[in-house]
Amino acid sequence: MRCEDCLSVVEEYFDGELETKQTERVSAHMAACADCAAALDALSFEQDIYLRYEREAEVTPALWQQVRAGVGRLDEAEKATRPASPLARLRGRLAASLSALAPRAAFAPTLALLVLGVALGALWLSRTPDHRPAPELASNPAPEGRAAAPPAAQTNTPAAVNDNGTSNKSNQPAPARGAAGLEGAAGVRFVNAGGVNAAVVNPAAAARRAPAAPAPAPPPPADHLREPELLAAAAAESPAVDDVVAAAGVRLLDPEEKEMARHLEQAQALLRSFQNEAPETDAVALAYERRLSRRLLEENASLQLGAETAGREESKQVLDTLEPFLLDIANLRDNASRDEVRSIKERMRKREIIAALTVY
Amino acid sequence: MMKLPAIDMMEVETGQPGAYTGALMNSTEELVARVRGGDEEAFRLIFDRYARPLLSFIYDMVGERELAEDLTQETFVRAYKGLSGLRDEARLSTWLFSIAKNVARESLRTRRRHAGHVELDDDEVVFELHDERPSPAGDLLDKELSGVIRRALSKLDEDKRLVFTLKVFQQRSYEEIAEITGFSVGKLKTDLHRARAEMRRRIGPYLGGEQ
Repeated sequence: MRCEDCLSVVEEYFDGELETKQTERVSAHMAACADCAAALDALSFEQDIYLRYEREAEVTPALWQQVRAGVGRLDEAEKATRPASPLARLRGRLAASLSALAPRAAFAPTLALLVLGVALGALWLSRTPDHRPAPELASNPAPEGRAAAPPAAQTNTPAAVNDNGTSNKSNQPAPARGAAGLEGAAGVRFVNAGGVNAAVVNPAAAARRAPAAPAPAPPPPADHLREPELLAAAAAESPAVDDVVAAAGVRLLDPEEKEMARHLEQAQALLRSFQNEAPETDAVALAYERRLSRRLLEENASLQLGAETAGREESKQVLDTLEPFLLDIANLRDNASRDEVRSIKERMRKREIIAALTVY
Repeated sequence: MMKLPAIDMMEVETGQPGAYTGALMNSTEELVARVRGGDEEAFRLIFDRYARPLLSFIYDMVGERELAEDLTQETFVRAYKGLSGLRDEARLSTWLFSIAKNVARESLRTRRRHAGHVELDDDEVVFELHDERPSPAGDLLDKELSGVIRRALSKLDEDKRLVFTLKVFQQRSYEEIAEITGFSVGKLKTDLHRARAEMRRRIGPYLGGEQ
């Protein structure tokens, strides 16, 4: 091996990155060549110097606390944005509402069905000593405390409605229909049919509950409303249901882009509001922006993950650009100085973040 | 010879994937699994293991203590957020460095835009302080030497600083550096060679007759 060949790979040799054969050749050359061995020694000496490099930065317990706080905010965001959460909240609200109605109107049809079932069963037993198969209705008496399972074709009929005020799954329509539903006090039912989220209004259920519940008037009788009508109807029914229905509507139109657009719209509004705050703004006046920013930050994190997973680079880039500003606003102290606020505004201006969001 | 019980044997599965009652399992894969199962202690262990090298790496990249701490925090928060997307748990370290690299570069980009990045481009600045009588490295206080190295590092361009830091300070292999930076091995070899040469030139006077 010639010296120039050896010196051209001496760094790789020093770094342990050469293949075995080449390493052996270089080693053999080094053993016989003082100049090349000196080059290797120089690298080794430099490395020793660099390893004495002391940095000013040290890991402190406070750093972990900061990380922990950041992770805590993420966890909260995840809980808030998890798709199941609104449904779970809705379910909770419905259960609470229905339990109030249960002893009165809601339980009556169930009780009536039970009594009818028992009566027909008794009649059938008295007339058929050989216990032949009975007519469908009589052969399936509802178990005590449960409503009878409705035929598939009668999903939206009063008989198909679970009115007993519980979230008992046995009261759900038969899964053979290919759609599992959750029906609410307001007559709005969320249906997952073939993997597509949809919402339909059950006017009968709404109408039946109207006298008992202090809710506004039920929507006009229509089994399947178009989306705008659905959203309007749902909004009129209950503010609690509104969020979920609106969210379902957004998913219906375009799951990811709609969510992204809504998020960026809100972020843009926030940034504009922050940007337009008077310089003498005090901490109290910024409380809303900080709160909103925290919420958007959590949403942003969730969307970033989604965009990354789906390989939507452009979306991810916008979200990545937005994140530091949301962080800055969210992390403003209660008594943030004017300079801090001004500094964020200055960065927003330089990064032209609002324009970037608008363009997207 | 007495056989010590394996620590792994002390853990008891709770029946939930990734959840363990024992907190003694420290392999990377297990820690990741536990974090995914919601175990904060496991994340703390990951933090304890990687905070120092990540902070050092970020500090070498940005050169400011407070900023480096903030960016280290950001790195861990992003890591926690994206942990579900980590495919090869054994490469957690590389993955964390990759996040740290992104965080540091984003910060540098932002800073450049804000400040117009007035970087000192006078090699003599370093030399002026000491060039009356360059001392041998052994005679320099470590603190002074560190200052020299830090200033020399800050003068490397971003790619070279990235590669140099990962190789010389973090002792990463070329393959790992390529994975962290996204550079080809050829590019990183070139950058590393040039970075070493530049650093040598800048700190050379402090190395006395050794260079």
